[in-house]
Amino acid sequence: MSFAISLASILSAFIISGIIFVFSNVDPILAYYNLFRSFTNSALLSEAVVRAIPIMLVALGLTLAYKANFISVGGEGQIYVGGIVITFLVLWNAQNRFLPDPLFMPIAIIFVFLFSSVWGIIPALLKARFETNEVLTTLMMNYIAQIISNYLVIGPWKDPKGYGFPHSPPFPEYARFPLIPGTTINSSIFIGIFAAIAIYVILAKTKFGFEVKVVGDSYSAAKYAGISYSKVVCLVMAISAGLSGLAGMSLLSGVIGRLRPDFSPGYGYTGIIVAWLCNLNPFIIVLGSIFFGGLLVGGEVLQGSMGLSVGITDVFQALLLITTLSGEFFKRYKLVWRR
Amino acid sequence: MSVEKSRRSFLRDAAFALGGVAVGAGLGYVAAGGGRAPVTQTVTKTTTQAAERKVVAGFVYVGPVSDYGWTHAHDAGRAYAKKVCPWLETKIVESVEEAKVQGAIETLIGQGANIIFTTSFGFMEGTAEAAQKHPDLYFAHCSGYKSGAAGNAPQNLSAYFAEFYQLYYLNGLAAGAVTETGVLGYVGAIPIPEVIRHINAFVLGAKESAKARGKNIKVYVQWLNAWFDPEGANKAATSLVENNNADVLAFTEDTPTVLQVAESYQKKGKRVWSFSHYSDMSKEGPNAHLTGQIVNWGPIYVDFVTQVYARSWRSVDIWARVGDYMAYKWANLQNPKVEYDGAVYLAPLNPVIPENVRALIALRWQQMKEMLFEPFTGPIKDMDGNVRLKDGERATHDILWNMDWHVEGVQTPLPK
Amino acid sequence: MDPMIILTTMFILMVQEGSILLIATLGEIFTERSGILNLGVEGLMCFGALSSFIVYYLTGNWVIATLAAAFAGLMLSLIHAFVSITLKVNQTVSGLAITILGLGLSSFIGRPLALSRVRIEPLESIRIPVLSEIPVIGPSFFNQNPLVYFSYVMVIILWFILYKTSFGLNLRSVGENPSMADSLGINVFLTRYIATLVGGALCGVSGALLILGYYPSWYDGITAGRGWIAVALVIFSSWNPLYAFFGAYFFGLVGTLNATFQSIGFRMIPTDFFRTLPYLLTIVVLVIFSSTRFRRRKMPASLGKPYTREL
Repeated sequence: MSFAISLASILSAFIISGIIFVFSNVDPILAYYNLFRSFTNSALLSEAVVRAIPIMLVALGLTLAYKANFISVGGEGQIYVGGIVITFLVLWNAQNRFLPDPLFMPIAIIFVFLFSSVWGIIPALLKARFETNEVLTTLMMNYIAQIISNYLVIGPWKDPKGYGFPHSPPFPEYARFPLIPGTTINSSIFIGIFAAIAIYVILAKTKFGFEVKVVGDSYSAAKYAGISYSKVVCLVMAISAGLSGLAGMSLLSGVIGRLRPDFSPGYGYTGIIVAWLCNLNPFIIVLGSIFFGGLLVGGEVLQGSMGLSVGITDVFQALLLITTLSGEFFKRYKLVWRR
Repeated sequence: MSVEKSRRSFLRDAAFALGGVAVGAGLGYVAAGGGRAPVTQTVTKTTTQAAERKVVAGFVYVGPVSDYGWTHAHDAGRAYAKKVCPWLETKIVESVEEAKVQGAIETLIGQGANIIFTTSFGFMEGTAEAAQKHPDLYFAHCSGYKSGAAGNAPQNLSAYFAEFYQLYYLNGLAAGAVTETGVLGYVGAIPIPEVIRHINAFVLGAKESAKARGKNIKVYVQWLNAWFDPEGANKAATSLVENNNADVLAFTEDTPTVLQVAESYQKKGKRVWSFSHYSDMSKEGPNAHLTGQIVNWGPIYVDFVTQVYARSWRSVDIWARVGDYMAYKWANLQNPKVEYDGAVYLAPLNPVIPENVRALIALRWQQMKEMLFEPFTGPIKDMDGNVRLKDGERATHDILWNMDWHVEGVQTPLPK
Repeated sequence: MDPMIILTTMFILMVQEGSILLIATLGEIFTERSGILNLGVEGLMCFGALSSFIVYYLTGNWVIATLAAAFAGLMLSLIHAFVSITLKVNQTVSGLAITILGLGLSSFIGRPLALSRVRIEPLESIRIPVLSEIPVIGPSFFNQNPLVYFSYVMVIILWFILYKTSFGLNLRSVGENPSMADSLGINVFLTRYIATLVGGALCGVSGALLILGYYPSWYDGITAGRGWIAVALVIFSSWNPLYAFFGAYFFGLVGTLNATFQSIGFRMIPTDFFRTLPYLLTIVVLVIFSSTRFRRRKMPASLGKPYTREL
C-alpha cells in the first residue's frame, strides 16, 4: 500500500509539471524522455553516478542526524570544511613530504572525517547545552564555511603559478581518487557504499543505534531511560559531518582536482531532499542519490536538447519533494482509518 | 467521528489549495506572455541532399542565460553565430557549477555535439581533460590559458578571450573629461590581474584627459570578492560617491547595479556617471551612462565553428582586442571614428563628453586597431612610486597577465 | 573625510537593506508565532519580486504591483500551509521545497524578461517634512520610498495585532499550546492558515521593496540569500515585531561595515570577515536567546510541530 502511495506521489509530480510543460508549449512526453535519458545511456548513467557520490554521502550522514530528530541542514558547510581540510593536507604534504604517496589518501580520508566532525559537533553541543535551534545554527555555519573556503582560495592558498586566478595549486596524482576503468566514476563511490552499510549496521544492530532512535522519538523517554542526550547528539553529528566532509573531499579529489571558490553545487541541500525522499533508509538512499544524479544530468539534457530554462528542473525537484511529503500523510492516514 | 471530520476538512482544504494553485498557475501563464517562453528547438530537416553537412556546437555556461552580464553576452554570441551559419545547430547547458563541467560536456557530446565551448575559467581543467578523452572532437575554452597552441593541452583545444583593458582606457578618457571632483571610483569584483589591469588602464586614460583640463585624478577602489553581488555593489558605489566624493563609477560586477546607483543620483540632481559592462546598458541609466565596454562573442564563435565546418581546425590562443575580428583594420588617423565592429567595442558615447575628448577617444581607438598606441607604455610608476615600465617600454603579455600593482593615482592599496 | 557624512551614508544604506529584511522578518514572525516554521522565505521573496516587477512594468502602479507581490507570496505559502498544517508533514523539508520552487518558478517565468532587458523606474523617495531635517536619522529614515514607510507601519500594526487583540492572543496560544487553544474553542487550523498566508504575503512584499526600490531590473538570483537572513533575524528579534525593527537595522548596519571601512581605508580586518559577521552574530544571538533564562518566554513552544487533534 505504502509503495502504491509513493508511486502515486511521484506520478502526481509528473502530472503537475506536465501541466507546466504544456503551458510553456513543450511536449511533456519528449521532455520526460529527455529527463530520464541518463538511465538508457551508459555514458550519461556514469555521469549520474558521479553526481550521486557526494549527494549520497551527505544524505547518509543526515539520515543518522534525522533519526535522532536533529534537523541539520549543515551538509553544504561541511562539504566546504572537507574541501578545506583536504586542500590543507595536499599543500602541507607538498611542502613537507611526510607521507609516502600510496599512504596519503587513506590517511587523508581519516583526517578529513575527523576535522569535519569537529565542525559538526559545534551545533550539536550548542543544541545540547543551550537548546539552540539546530536548523539555524547549521545554516549559518554553511555560510561561514563557504566564506572561509573562498577567503583561503582567493588569498593565502592561491596558486602562485595560476596567473592570479583564484584557485589552489592542482592536486597531485596521489591525492586523486582513481577512476573505475572504463567509466568517469571515481573510487570514492566505495566510501559511499561502505557508509551506507555502516549506517545501516549502526541503526539496526548496535546499542548506539537504539539510543539514537529513542532520542529521536522522545526526548523525555531518552532521559527516563538514562540516555545522555548530548553524547548521542554529538556523536550523531560527528558522523554526519564527517561523511559530508568526505563528500567535499570526493568533489575535490574525485572531480575538480583543486580547491576552487564556491566549489559545491549545492549538494549539501540536495542531500537533505534525498534523505527525506528515501525515507531515511540507507540502502534506498544509495539508489535515490543515483536517481537524483540522473535527474540533474537529465535537466542538462533537457536544456541542451529542448532549450528549456534551468529553473524548470528546480520546479520539478520541488514538486517531487512536495508530493512525496504529502504522500507521507496518506500513509499515516491509512493507519488511522483502519483502527 | 474525528476521522470523518478530518477527512472532510482535508477535502475542503484540498479543494481550496487546488483552486489557489490554479489561479496562481494562470497568473504565471499570463505573466510569461501567454506561454510563449522558451522555444523548443525542433530540427526540421528534409534530407534530400544526403551529404549535407552540419556542425553541432555545445555551449557550457557558468550562469543562467538570464543573468545580466557574462553568460547573457555569450548566449548573444551563440545566437549571432547561429544566424550567420545556416548549417550550425547549437545546444546549451546553463548554470553549470564547476564540479559538473565534465558531466555537462559529456551530456552535450551524447547529443551529438562536435565542438564544445566552455565559458568559465573554472571549466579549464575539465575541458582539457575532456579534450584529451575525445581527440576526434573540438573544444574551445574561454578565459583560461590552456590550449594546444600554448603547448599545455591537446591540439583539439583552443583558448579564447575578449580583452577589455583598451576599452577601459577609453572609458578613462571619458571619465577624466567629465569629472568635476577629480575623484573616480571603481567597484571591483575579485583582485586578480585581469581586473587590476582594467583598473589601471582606466586610471591611465582618466589621467590623460584630465591633465588637459589641469586636473589631478584620484581613484578609490572597493573590492567585493565576488563576481555577482548586487547588494555589495550598491553599498560600494554609494560609499564611493558619498564618502570619497567620486563622481564617475567604473565597475566589474555582473549586474547593472552600479549604473543604477549613478542614475538614481542623476535623478536627485547630482551628476554621477557610470558605464556599460559586457552589453549595452544605456537603457539602465539614460542620464548616467557615459559609455562602456561591450563584447560581441559572435565573430569569435563564427570563426571556430567555421573551422570545424571547413575541416581547417588549428589550435589557437586568441585574446581578442580592439581591431580583431573587424571588417576593416587599417587605422584612419585623418578622420578617426569609433566603430561598432569587432569582438570588443565601446557603448554609445554620452553627448556630455566634450567634442575634443570624443575626437581623442576616436583617435586612440583607431590607433589601437593597429597597435600604434598601447595604454601601458612607460614611463609608468606604481602607486608607491616604483618605476614599473621605463620610458617608451610597452607592457608585454606576461606583464599584463601577472599585473599585481596599481598605477600612480590609485589611492587604495591592493588587499594583502 | 567628514565623519557625519560617513555616518549618514551608513545609515542610508542600513535603512535600504534593513527595510527589505524587516518586512520579511515581520512576515516570518507572524507565521512562526502560530507554530508554523516556514523556511521558504527566500523563494517567497524571489517570486514576490518577480510578480511585482511584471505588474509594475505593465501597469506602472506600485500599489497594484505590491499587491501582486503579496498575492504571489500568499499563493506559494498556501502550498506550505496545506502541506504542513493539513497534511502535517515535516515543515523544514516543506520550507526547503518552497524555496526551491519559488526560485525555480521565478527563473523560469522571468526568463523572457531577463532576456529582453526590461527595465522599470525605481520608486521615488518621499521626503517627510521636519523629520527629514534631523541629522543622520532624517536623510536615512525619513527620505525613503513609500514601501519603507510601510515597513515602519507594519511593525506597529503587527505588534498591536499580536499583543493587543484577541486574535493575536489566540494566534500566540495556538503557537504555544495548540491542544489547549483547541479546547478553548479556537480554530487552530484556521489560525495557522491565516498566519502562514499573511506571513507569506509579507515576504512577497519584501521582494517588491527589493526590486521596485533599489534593484530595478530582473535577473536570476536577485534575492541573494536575504530570505535566510530574515529567518535568522526572527530568532535574533525573539519573535517580537518591535525587536525585529532594531534587529533588521542592526543587521543592515553590520552589512555596511565592509564598504565603509574600505572607503575610509581601514584595512586591518580582511573583507571576508565582514561577510561572515551577520552569520556569526546570528549564532551568538541564538545561543544567548536560547539559554534557558530567555527561552521560556520567547520561542513559541509548538514551533515546527504539526497539530493533530486527539482522538
